[in-house]
Amino acid sequence: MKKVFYSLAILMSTLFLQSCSYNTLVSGDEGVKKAWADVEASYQRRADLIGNLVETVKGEAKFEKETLTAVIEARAKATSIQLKTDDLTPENIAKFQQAQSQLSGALSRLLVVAEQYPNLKATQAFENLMNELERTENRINIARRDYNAAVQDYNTHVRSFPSNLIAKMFGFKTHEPFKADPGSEKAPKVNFD
Amino acid sequence: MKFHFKKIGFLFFFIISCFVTAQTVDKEGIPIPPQPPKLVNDYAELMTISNRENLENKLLAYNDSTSTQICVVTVNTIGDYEISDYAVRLGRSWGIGQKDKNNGILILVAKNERKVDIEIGYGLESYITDYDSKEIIDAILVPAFKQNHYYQGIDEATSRIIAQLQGTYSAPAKSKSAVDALPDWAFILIMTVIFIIIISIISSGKSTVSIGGGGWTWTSGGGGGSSWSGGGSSSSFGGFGGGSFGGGGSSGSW
Repeated sequence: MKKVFYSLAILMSTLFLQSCSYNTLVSGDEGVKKAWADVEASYQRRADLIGNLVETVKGEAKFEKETLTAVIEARAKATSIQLKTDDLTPENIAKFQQAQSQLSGALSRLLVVAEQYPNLKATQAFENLMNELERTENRINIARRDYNAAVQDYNTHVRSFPSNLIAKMFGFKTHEPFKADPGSEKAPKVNFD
Repeated sequence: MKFHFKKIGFLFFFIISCFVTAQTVDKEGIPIPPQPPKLVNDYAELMTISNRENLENKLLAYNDSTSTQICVVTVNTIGDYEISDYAVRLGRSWGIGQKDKNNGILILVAKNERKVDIEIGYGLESYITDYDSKEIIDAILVPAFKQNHYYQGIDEATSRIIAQLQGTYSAPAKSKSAVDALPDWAFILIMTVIFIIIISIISSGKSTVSIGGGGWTWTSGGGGGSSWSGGGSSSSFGGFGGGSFGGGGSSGSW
């Protein structure tokens, strides 16, 4: 009788433990996906602002065709990469990140050019755009930090015992964090003060 | 009985020390949430006591009627942080705003760096855009701060924010649960009694009956319970709601 009781208790507690781990993994995975959505949304926000910026700059700085085209192209490329949450592979994330940092580079050059047009700098529209861009880089940083935190949390569960057994059983794989952009820990400065 | 008084003395000291907390920081260098929670936290001492009380009462009333939490924090220094980064970390760690609405706003002033920042919670970003907060900083806060009119600047800025947010959120209807229906003093009294019982069980390990008696003697005889609830005019602030921030807002320097 005792034996039956003990084995039942063990079975129950194992099941309980496993269902706990399974649920933790599911919610961790969802957390990562949600955090990724925020990352994409904040980059999209930036892309939209850059679109507006190009329009504003065009009016004043007509002769900077080359710089403007570079920004437009980089923007088109960056916005063309939309990752579904199931495609968050290391390669895809690297591609996404590369396209975005190319856009950052083109944007910085455009801002350097804009610096040479006092009329442009003085307009309210330009000033507002600068402020929004600055805050959006802020949002991107925060979204990336949140994403990495969510990934780290989830990956810890996938790798550690006993949830790793459940992860293997149900095919939960680790997610890929953002790597710091080479050479730039910080967002490009969009500050004209 | 003497033994009990010793313990009670310790408890009393503990409760008092809750009120007299100095500004302490967590491992990231961000101030820990104030105990008891307050909406106006003038660590850099830029305002007079009556200024702080006025502002606290105004923001508290706004919190009570809308559930939107506008929090003002002044610090001496933000260290190596960018002010917006510092503000987001602080706003998140304190949980300003309601969890389900993310309707918190943080006005952060860094005295030594002469920088000011407004952070807008996720849920309010569409009502107060980055541009709006930039305007509040440029047109209200910076000019006032330049003349050392900290209270006037912050007071006007919060008024502007409140005007802009008119009709966005409202406080949830008072829930009818038994705990909520209790007046504050009753709740505090009950908590105090429970607290004393727990403490005395832990410390004496005697039978519960005699200890319960000791606890009651104290609460009915001493003025401790009333002094706790009367700790300040703003003690009715129920605490921060766990709201989050995504980086919306603006910053400036004076």
